[in-house]
Amino acid sequence: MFTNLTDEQLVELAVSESPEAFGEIVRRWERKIFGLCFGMLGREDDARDACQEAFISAYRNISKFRGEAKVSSWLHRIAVNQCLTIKRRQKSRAEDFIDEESGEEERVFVAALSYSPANRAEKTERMSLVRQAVGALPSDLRQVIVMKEFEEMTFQEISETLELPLSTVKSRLYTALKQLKMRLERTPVEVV
Amino acid sequence: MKDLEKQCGLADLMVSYIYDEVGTPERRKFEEHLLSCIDCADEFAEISNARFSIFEWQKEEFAHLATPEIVIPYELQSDAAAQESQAGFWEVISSLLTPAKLSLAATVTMVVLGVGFWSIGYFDQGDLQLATNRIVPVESSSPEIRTAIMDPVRDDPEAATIDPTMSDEAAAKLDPRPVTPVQSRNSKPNRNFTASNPKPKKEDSAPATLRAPRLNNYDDLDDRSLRLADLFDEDIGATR
Repeated sequence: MFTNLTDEQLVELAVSESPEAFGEIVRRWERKIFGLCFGMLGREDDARDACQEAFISAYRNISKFRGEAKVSSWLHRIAVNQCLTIKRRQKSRAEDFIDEESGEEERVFVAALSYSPANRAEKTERMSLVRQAVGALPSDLRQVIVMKEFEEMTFQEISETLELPLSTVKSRLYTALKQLKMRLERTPVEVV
Repeated sequence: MKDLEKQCGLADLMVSYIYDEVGTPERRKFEEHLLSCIDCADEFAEISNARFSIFEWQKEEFAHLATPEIVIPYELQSDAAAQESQAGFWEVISSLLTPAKLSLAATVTMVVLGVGFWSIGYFDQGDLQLATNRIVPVESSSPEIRTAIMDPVRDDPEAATIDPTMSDEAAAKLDPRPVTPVQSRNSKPNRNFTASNPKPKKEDSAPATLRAPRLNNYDDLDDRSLRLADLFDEDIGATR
């Protein structure tokens, strides 16, 4: 019902008539917001918590969305703020765990990310696409991806191993991730 | 989407931030920029998503794989090492027996043998000369002989001429002859004539200016040369 609407229309509906329209926004952007949180926090659990809190915060402040920027950009900014908040919280309280009970009802937005069969199928398909996309990368870019992600080498170690400047290693990794993003966006995953 | 590298120049910093390899000042700078720059925040989200896709793929397809148990057959390794050591010994031997080394060894051997044979021949000739000369220790000879040997004959003008009518004994006393290699009656004639010891000419019947003293009565009147061998018996040192 909401799949043919734009993000801005969904926000307008969520504000005025149907809060469930916000669910479609969550379904469209949860993975990317989760990826952004993962990029900022580095841990899957922390990223999941940050993603959850980001959507909760966006839903609470959806009426403040003016339409000056894209919905995705608005969500990105909210997610960045949440991640920074979590980082400060983790820094001030070393081993302070978030109460899992408090956010249980909000898990509706992110539970589908991992547990539903549809999402499992989507995940399997996505893994296949990622494998093809990585394989299609040029060898010099793929080399850096493998050394960073699979061998967990630091940039300095990669630089010394490949006898490349540090900036070149980082540049290659940035280029590899951009190309990977373009290849994955070119073939969107559809769950039947 | 705008090129982040050209616009903000934070591509390297973004990658370093994603992989948590950035210092605290750079981290704060980037976070503040993310809050202020929508394009960089969008770009960061895209890059982070791509990175997470790889992370997820690595976790799903590889992380659960068990590490293969690698078994090293050490007993085979020790046997191979023993075989290598044996092979190594024979290899060393075979490496020494190369044609070049063999020829060099043969050449050196021949040179050494040649030098040895030459030296042996040289010393043998010396021994032969010594044998023919029969050099007698001075202590065992008679006084007259010692005088003749120890005191080399000098060119004495007074003794230069010899009266043929003079008896042998008187002539021998007055005009000692130089001691020259004398041929023994029982030995082969000395054919080693040199410049210092020329072959005596038969027609040269002129008496020598210097003569060795006649120490005994010698029946052979033609032979005026002094023969050391005649002076001594077989038992060297026996006095007359």
